[in-house]
Amino acid sequence: MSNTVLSAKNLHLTFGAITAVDDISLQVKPGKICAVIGPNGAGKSSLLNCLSGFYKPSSGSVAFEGEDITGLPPFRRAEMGMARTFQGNQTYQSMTVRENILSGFHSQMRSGLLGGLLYWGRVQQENAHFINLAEEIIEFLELEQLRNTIVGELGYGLRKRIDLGRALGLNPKILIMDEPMAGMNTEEKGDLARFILDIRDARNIPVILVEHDMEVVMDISDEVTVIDWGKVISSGPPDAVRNDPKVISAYLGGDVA
Amino acid sequence: MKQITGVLGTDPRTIDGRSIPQLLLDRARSFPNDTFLQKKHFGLWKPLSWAESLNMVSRYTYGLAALGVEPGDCVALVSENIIEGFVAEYAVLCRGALFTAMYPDMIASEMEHILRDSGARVVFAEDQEQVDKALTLIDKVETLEWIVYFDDRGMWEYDHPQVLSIEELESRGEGLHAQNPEQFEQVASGIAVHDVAVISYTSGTTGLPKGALLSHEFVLDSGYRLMDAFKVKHGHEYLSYISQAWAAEQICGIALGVLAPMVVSFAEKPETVPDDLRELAPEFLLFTPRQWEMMASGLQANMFDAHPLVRRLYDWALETGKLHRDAPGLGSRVKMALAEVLVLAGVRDNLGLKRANAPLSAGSGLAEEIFTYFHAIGIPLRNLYGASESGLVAAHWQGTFNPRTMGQLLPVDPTIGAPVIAEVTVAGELLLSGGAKFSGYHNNPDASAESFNEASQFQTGDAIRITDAGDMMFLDRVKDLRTLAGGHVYPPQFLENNLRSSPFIKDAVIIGDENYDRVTALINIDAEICGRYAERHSLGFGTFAELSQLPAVVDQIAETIAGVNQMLDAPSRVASFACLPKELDPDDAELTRSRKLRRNVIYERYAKAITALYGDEDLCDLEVVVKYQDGRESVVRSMVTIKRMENPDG
Repeated sequence: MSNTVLSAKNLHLTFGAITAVDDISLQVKPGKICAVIGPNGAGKSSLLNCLSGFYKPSSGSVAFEGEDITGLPPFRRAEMGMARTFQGNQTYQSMTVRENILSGFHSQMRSGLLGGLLYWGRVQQENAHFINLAEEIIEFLELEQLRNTIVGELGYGLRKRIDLGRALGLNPKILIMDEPMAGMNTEEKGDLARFILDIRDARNIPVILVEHDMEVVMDISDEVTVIDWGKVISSGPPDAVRNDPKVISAYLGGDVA
Repeated sequence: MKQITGVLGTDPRTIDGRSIPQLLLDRARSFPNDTFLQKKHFGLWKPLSWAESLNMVSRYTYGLAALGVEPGDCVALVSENIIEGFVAEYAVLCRGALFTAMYPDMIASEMEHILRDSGARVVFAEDQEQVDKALTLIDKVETLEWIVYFDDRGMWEYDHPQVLSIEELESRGEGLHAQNPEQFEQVASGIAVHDVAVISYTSGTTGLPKGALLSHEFVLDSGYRLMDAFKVKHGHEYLSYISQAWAAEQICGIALGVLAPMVVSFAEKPETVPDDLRELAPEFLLFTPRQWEMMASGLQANMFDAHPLVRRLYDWALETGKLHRDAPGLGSRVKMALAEVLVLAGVRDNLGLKRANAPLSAGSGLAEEIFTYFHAIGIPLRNLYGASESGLVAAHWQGTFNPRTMGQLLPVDPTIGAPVIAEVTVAGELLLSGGAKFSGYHNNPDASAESFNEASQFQTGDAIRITDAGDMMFLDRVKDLRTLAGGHVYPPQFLENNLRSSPFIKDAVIIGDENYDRVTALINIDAEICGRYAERHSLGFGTFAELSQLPAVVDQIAETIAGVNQMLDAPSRVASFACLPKELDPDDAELTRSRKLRRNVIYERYAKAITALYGDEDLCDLEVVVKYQDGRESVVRSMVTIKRMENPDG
């Protein structure tokens, strides 16, 4: 296995005359949390969409565990072990917490419709197997008291956590999170930050994180990439990036002497 | 001086000279395949049989021995209630070591005192949070050598030579087990019933917590008392929820668990207790008053969200339940049957109390309202009275439920000794003898000696009144009692608290000490409730002073006082009272900012009214200086009614 889980080389993405992603290269190493930050409209989400396959880059390539996946559709990438959470909430509101997390396993389930209807031996076993895996995630995310609660009744922060649980159901080799903390209060942010660290440490899953909240990013990330106007303007460990004059200028505006 | 004698128990499952480890071995031999402990994991109950439980205890014990824990050493635990915590305690006891537990929400400095005082060599810590606290102490507390943790979450990066996981502890014990496979049982079966098992630290409201030494016999005897009084059967379910740091859990969980024996279950985590409780529907459970209050208010909050029709049905069923308890009759029986089917059985099921035949409340007083509320929905809640040093003393177990009392003396294990004898001294203090004896305090011979009098009766420090029905009524701590001129001792705080629990009364100041021959009271009425009461009776008033002196209001207060008077013996009753013409106010320094009474200030400002309370006049012309927040002062002058209670002795 190579030393890089996910790498992007010279990615370009244009919409008509607008260049959203301009020659961005990125490498994610095993067991690291990589943050992508930048002002509004910098091209962060576009970059994520190129990585997870929702957008096809105009040029450049994306490789996952050494394999070129530039042309693969998102669901194929998901099967390979790339999980992603989205901005906002993508849970099934009328299902319970456990059912939502179970839905994350669907790409690994083998039983067909007929088998499911008859619910015979092998299907039962498969059901028990995935419930067990879902319970592991429930324990990991400390959702035991809510396992049978309808998701629609829960607050935003908890729903995001369930969203994350469903992504973990893919048994991913990398987790891509698009602004997971947007709209959360301080306590919810703290909780989620702790879970992201645990995902790295206990499950050994590298994380790509697009985030606005600078404090969180600087606290938990191993690598930070700053982009502005579609270009990388700085990258490196949080402390180096924090003091980079180009970053300060991009965030605060104006010229830097 | 009043004295009553309890009874001896009749249940054949006596202690019969066995310590907790010996009982554990016995039970595992007799019922190897029955369930003893069970925990919920991944949403399912995972039972452990007696044989499996004993095996787990044995593995922990060998691990402790491998760390160098010798009989007589101390091992501590800081954890929520989890199965591993229980097994760890049994392992410590089987090793012949002393066990002490700390509340999981203690801060490091509180833990420091307990670890230092107990001389603990090993501390079992539940998870990263507890390990972090223990790590700050490992260099400060000289005796502490090892931290053993159960939950490895977040512990991946820890690399401290004195911190090990429970798996590492077990594997360290394997060699010793292979070398000497008999050692566990040899040591465990040699633990005597009189040996000290647990150091239970008292809450320490005054000064540092003291470590009460509890022997096997002591906790088992208290366990037997519950088992016999409440007919706890072999195999009854018990949910371990109150902390092992509290002597009550040592009795109900650890001791009664092996004595009855019960199935001891552990919730997934504290937040899932309501759900787990419902699934288990335990027969026997002990909560603190606060936990009962939370359960009642949670239910009421749920009812607020219910459909109005459901809510009305619920209210009707609750009312029916109350009426049926108070005055059962043919009509109420029929209505009650309907209420049971439609509402009450479902409510009990939802709370997880449908099989609870011994739901107990202990720790402090439970409000009468909450008590009658649970009785109305058919849950036979009972008060339990005891302390770390006295064991369990009394409970409602003989069929009567007076919510104001703590019930009757509990039956003692006949193999332990004489029944409990309760005696109330002239000074009002409860003295106890009989049953298993308290072993004193750890490292504190003075306090140990002080806890017994010359007749070797245990001095509880509690002011108790024994009612005519033989119930124990808790009045106060003895140090808070006051003496009247005639030498009579009475409980002022008991009066004040009970008066304050009336909606009409905001504050009550009880007067009467060595200078006076009677008890009197100054009452600060609740302006809002009394105001509404006056409005409903079409009585006009302009100011607080006028409201407070309305004859109807004064009569209402007199009625409340008469009710409270009923609870006490004649010389302790309030003989006369006056309603204050102004509210007690922190701005006038009559109250602290946290609304505690500043007695000296009150006595001084209302001296004239107090004199009148002990005089013959029916009115008192009172002038009080009022200070406004902007610093101005004015004088409030009013005629205050001095109301004498009719027949306070009756």
